[in-house]
Amino acid sequence: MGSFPYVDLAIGLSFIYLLLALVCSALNEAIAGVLNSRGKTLAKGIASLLQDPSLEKKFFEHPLIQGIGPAENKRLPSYISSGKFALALMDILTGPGAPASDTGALRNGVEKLTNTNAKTALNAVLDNPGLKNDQQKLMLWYEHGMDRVSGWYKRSSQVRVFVLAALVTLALNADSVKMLRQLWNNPTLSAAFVEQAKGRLQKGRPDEELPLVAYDNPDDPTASTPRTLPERDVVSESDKQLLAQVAGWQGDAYSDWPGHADHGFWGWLGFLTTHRLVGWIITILALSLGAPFWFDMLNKFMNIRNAGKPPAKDAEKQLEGEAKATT
Amino acid sequence: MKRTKALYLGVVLIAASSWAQNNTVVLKRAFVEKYKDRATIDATFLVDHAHKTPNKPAADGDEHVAGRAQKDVGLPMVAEIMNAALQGQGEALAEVHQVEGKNQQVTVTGAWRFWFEHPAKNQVQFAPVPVPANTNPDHSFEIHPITNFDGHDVAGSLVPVKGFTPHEGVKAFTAYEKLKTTVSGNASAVSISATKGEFNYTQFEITLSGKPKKLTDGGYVVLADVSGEGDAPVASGIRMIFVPGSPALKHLLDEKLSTGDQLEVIGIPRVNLNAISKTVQANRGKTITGKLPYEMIIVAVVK
Repeated sequence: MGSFPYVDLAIGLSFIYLLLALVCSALNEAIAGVLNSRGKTLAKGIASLLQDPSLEKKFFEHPLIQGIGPAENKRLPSYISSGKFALALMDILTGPGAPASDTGALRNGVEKLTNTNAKTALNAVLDNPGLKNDQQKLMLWYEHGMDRVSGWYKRSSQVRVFVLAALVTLALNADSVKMLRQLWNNPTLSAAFVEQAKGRLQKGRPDEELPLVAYDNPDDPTASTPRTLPERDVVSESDKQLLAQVAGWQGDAYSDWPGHADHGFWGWLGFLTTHRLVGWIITILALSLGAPFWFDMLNKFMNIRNAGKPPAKDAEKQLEGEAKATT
Repeated sequence: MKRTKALYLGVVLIAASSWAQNNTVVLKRAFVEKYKDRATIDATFLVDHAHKTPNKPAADGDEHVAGRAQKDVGLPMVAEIMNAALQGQGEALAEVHQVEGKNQQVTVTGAWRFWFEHPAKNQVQFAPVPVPANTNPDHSFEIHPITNFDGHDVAGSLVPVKGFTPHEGVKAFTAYEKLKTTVSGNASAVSISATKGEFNYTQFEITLSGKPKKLTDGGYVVLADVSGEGDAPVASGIRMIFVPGSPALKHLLDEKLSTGDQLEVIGIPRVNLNAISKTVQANRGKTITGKLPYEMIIVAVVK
């Protein structure tokens, strides 16, 4: 163990959580893409704004909105700009005979709506005295509605991440208590995790990408300098090898369990429940906090470690020399 | 060990499936090198479909034209005349409809715009481009805005569209800054993957961080910071592209604008091929993931 055993332990554990949380978020993104969760949540949000199924149907059939989604599979668009929302809605409400910008036709269109909830909501939006332009009024209404939709999506995503955290924890047998013990009892392993964590920190926060190039000379916008970008794979080969030393089913699998011949499957399950459950629960809760959280924690622990580092001998000598020179 | 390998195979599959959500375009390396420091492209173009009338000013005022430029672009594409309802664009507009669907070649010049706004899942440059079915096929390439349509100069149309509200700068740039890309390439081709980009016309304030530099086609490029809500810029060191013949470029040159000068402009984002070229050059054969490099085509100066 190094000079800061507790800090090294915290770095090791934060790094493990970061790697596993990255796996969870990659899985979550993949599932969200396959299920078109963003598109479905957006459609639900628009339905709650319009409150009129026939208006909602016309909205999603409008060419401005139809043109957004990929043509080949007719998936719901995962994003509709406020401008497109307002224009499509104005075009539907004004009808084919009038331009979308015709204020009178727009009001008439609203009055013709059979659904009283939709009529009341749209009248209130269009009567907003704070804005002059009908398009801007509808855009603002939509943007406020979308803030709520973002909240819905975030909540459903959090539930999915929690379930995925449980699956990843069980699949990799990532028992926090066991991992902590292994790091504490094996200083070489702990040091290896600290070194690997330093490399991961240089790759940047998981939710932020780094620029590919820099323009170092402001007077020459054609002379770009490539940045040395670290590989941004979810878990690198060396990460995997390190992780395999603290997580996994080796030693815990049914056939590995020394008592399996005498106590059978239920005995093994009992052993796992009594010996691993607490560690699993801690890991699941930790992974639910997300990769950016663990990246920030790792960064903080690394800063503590670096700040508390005793000065090197050469640096000490230099400091002594400077002190003598000033006295 | 086998068990561990199996577990991590899952991880690899996850990573692969997350990237599968992106849209990928493969460009010819020679094309990237040719246009990386040009504002515009000259293309021999076939007009397949055009909007009967320009979009209403509230929508953006553009005339959308879908067509093919197999030799010069080789990708599904559209071309757009800005402010198409303005006086002075009539001849160009009449020409568009005269050649529409007649398989008649015309020359079109304008700002090239490679951007993942209406992307197809995968596109390979210079593969046979299908005839578009309508005025808005899945495309990642545009000539937008057009400055000359078959001899009709429309560069004067690059001014603010009356009645149109552009996107708010801070919001749009916050979104541009979050876009990510995966780039790989070799001597002959460059593969660029990215998620869908939004916010077409954006109004924003810039502070020039250097001197403008002339490009090979007569356009200019200058690095600038984009003002944010507080003191810190929302984006820094972004290439601003001024199109030859445009009123915006005239303003830049007439006012001799340089480091520290401020402007309020309207712009359209496009992929920064200069940065893509440099990335591929420095990482030949490797796959690089990072922030999508973008630059802004300045289509109007507001003040």
